[in-house]
Amino acid sequence: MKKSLKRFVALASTLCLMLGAVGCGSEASPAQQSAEPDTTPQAEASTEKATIDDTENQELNIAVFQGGFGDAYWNAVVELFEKTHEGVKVNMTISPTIAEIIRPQIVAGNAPDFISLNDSAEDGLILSLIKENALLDITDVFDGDNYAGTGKLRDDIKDGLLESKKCAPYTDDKRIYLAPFNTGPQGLVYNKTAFDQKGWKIPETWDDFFALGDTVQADGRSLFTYQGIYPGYLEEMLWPAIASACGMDAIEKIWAYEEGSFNNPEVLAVLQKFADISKNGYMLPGTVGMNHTESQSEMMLGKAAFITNGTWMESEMAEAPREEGFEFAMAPTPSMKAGDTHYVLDSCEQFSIPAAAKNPELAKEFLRFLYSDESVKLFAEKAGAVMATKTGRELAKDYISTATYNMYGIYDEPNTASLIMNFEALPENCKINVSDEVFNPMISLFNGEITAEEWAESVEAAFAQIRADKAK
Amino acid sequence: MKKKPTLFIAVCLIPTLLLTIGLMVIPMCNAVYLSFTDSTALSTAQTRQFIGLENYIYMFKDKSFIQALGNTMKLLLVVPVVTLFFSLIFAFLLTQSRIREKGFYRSVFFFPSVISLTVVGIIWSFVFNPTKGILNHILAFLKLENLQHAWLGESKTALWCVAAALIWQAAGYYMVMYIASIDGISEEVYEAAAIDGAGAFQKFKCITVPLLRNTIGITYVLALSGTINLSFTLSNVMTAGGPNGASSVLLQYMYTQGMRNANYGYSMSIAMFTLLMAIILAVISRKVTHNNEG
Repeated sequence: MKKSLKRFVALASTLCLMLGAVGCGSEASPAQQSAEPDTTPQAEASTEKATIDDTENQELNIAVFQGGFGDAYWNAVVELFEKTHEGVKVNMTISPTIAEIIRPQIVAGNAPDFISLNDSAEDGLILSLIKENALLDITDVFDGDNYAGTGKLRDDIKDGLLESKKCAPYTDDKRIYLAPFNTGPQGLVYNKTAFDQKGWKIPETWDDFFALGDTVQADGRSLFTYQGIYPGYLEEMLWPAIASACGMDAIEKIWAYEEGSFNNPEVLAVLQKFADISKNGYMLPGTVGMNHTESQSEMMLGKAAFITNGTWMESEMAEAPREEGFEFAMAPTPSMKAGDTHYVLDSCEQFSIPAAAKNPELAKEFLRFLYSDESVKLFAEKAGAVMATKTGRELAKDYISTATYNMYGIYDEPNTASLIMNFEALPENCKINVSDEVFNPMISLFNGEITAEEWAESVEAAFAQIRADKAK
Repeated sequence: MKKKPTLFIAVCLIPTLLLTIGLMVIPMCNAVYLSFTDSTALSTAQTRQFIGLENYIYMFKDKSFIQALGNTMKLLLVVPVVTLFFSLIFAFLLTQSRIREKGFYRSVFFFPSVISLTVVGIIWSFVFNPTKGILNHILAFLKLENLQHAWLGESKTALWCVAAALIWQAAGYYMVMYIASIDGISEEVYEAAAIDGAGAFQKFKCITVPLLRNTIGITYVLALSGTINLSFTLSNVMTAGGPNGASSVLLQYMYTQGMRNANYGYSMSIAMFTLLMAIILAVISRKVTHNNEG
């Protein structure tokens, strides 16, 4: 007896020591995190379907990504929703790292009722929810009445959004799983004052663009900069450039990962233009090593004429030093030939309701409410941005800055069309991150470490893997 | 002879043992199991499938994994050796030389080990900043503009910038260990050597290094595992693994696959691979230093 106890003590202490040592040599925490995904969110899916009329003592748990729009809008709209829906209590979690907060909750089967988070967010949470079919079909919300009861909600939403992959991510099923949040153009941001003073014209074609590069160089500026170590921002230029030069069919093929969609001669010609920016010395030196705020500051100080960005830049950089008289304005990505359509990538972010939401009906009501005129105005007032409704821009006019309002005017320019992009949903278990595969090589391209052809080939290889995963 | 309180020790061990089992043994076994499945973030015990070695096979066809493995190997080859070299030199200088501000330098060298690794990463990002960074400014001051780089944005330099930060933050830590060991070497040995006419370098080479061999062996293993672990944080903060994966490391790729792409199974197989690699490297380096002792 004594002996076995001793043996136990010895064994136990060795075990503790050993594992301590092993733990020090490996990263134990991910293993720990993975230890608990044994609960089924779907299995726990809502049993308490409440009708909207009966909101007494109901709780709604919402999770919101706090990004460039801040939290003022969300606080206000939640308060308004509680006021107009008696008995409802909204529990809001709002954070810049919301995905890290709710991911373990979702994995543990405790999903929030409503999420405001974009599928292109760095954290990949929404993408994985799409991949795993874990979002609720919300087509009925848009087929139903709007909050004011004046018509179908679908008719209030900006054209083209609900049909796009942003909202209906699956090819074989055209139903809506994500709701559009805001809308806004993304393109080449420039300083209108400097352009007006020096008499520079907005370049229509790539040739004009590079010619302007020589002009601004004489003025001590580089032509172009982007967000350096975050090459994902270049989507604001790459997709419009391809759509303009090769047509919508060509770009749809890319977003469906079709073979030969990225390395064909037409697309390659566009990719080459990006290589030329750097090869011919039009890129602000040091760009590849900067982060987004650094490159944006440099641009605002007059070091570069253009930067890829969206309308949020004005509020994001509110405190940043700038050139005398700096005024935000936006130009579309140049086209190959004069007269080609200029596409402007829409910065639509998304709302969604997890399939495992405890109170999906109330979440749908909340969603409907977010598109009401009151909410759209609040969004403009508190966040300085425009909700993805047809009347969004006009309702926001009194609240947003003139520069921002004018940036939205880019859509009104002749020959300009809005482009809403999204890749087709990835097959479950796919190990490819498409955005990384497409945009990360661009840094190497700008550094002259790879050619446009090599970039295209590496993207094609990733597409081939995705097709193989799909076929499984 | 006094009786050992065996029962008491056993009872005291129970909480630790339970914690170890709950927080390390079970998750570890679970990780091993998951690495053989196609588990995703939301899959359940019913929906996940056992896929044998498929994850491990995919790993060696996955160019991002190979790249991360290559980068980790490069760091493992360079960082521990350079770190320990500097630590030894600092320890020797601070114990054997007659510098008056010894205490001050000791604190200064140890300081990086006290501050958070994320802060270390941010500090070094500023150092390497292409326009505002002190490194490029110093180069400009020395009229060496042709040596200026966008350090964190170029494939050739990014990984070595991470390595520099790793060495800077770890050197002081191992220095303290060496100082403790050098203090354990009798002063008389050094005095005798001095009488025989040995200079500082000879003392270092013929007394300090041989007598510290065992400590060096242990710190080398620690530095290896430290490099594997800490490179993740630094590369995440400084370069986010970029440009184009040029500074990504194994644990970062594991994190990307697990957390961003939601492939828990694949992510765990990368973790298992890393763990195995760390254990093998540790065993080999211990063997080598032990043999040297013999």
